[in-house]
Amino acid sequence: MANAKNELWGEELFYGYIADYLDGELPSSLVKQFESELSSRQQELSAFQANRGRLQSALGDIGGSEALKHKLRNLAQDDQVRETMEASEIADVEKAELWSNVLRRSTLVAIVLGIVGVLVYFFMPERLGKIDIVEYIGYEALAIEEDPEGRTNLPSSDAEEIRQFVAAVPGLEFRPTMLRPLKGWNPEGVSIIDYDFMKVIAVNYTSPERANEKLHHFMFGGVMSSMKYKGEEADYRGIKYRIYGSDKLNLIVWQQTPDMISVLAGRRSAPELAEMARAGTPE
Amino acid sequence: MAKGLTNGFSEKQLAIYISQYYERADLVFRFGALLSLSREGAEHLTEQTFRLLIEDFSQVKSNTSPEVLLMALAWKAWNKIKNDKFREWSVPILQSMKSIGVEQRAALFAVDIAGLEISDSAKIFNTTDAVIRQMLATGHKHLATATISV
Repeated sequence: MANAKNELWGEELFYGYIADYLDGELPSSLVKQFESELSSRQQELSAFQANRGRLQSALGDIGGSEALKHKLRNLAQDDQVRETMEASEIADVEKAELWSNVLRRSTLVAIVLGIVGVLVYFFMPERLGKIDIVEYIGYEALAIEEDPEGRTNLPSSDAEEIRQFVAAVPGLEFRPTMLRPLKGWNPEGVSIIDYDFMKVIAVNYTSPERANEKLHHFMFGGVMSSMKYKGEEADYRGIKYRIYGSDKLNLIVWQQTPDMISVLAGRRSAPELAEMARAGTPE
Repeated sequence: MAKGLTNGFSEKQLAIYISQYYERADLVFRFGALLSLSREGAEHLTEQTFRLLIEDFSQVKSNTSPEVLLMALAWKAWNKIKNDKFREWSVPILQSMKSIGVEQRAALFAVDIAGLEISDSAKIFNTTDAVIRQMLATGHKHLATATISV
């Protein structure tokens, strides 16, 4: 560019600084001089402002072609290799996305299964902790007494036959353990009570000495700590038992084996039942 | 070559080239359009400018203003190609700029379009602030007095 004088004045100063003036950047030392020129050039000021805007807008609207951009990019990075790399990166992203989808779907399935599990837990027939199994058993004992033929699966007075039959009952969650022979009480059969949520086995006894009074030994899987119970446990020579009663029967419950709960139901008093439980269970 | 790099570029240099310079290619293109008043000329100037940039890219300092460097290289490139013939671009406002010289257009672009300081513009064109101011005066007078069809 050519050399020029260091200072502008008059019209040259006006046009040289017109943009500064409009942009509020006019040096204070030039304000007086500029404004004296401006007084007769208001129209030029407006025209400059409009045309400068048009020029900025027109240039802002144009740009290099894609082919040019491509060429410029290739100055630094080989196109084919870049495309291969990009394809590879896209493949990696797709792969990552696939795994992400698998993970997301698995999580969704897990959540759905969890919800189903919770629903099943709440709406399925209740397990031991939620139900009063002893109350059921109380009714069962009375029902067996009222209709022994209809509710006895194996009518037998042979203890060994009963033991074998009980041991062969399918679908039990525990290993049934009969009481040892009880003096004055004869077995008369086995009842299998099949609730939706568990199977209960009852060995029924009768006592000819007591006018054929009945006694029932119910067995089912579980631990007593998971059963509803509000009273205090009693202890008879190591048999820790709970007492349940109704107007017709007394029941005691104890943990006969680690995986099996027993209930003795009959018309004897609870301590007598506990004594029988002790006598029938090895110490 | 790793990552497909050419012209001895490292990955870091490629990143700088792309983000700081390649992304400003349109600035050079617009400068070329105002200098050459031609699309063809603008494309040619842009390519030549970037070729100059690539030649000495390893010497580019991190604190260099990309706009100033690109404009300086573009001016250098322009001086190499200014005698080439390019087809005119029939954009009215570009056509109207034919009536002022290329140096005035260059100063106008640097200050009023690219928004550079007078002092940076002076460095780009290897001249003084006063010369830039004088070039601007001519360019501004044209914008203030010309009838430009839109």
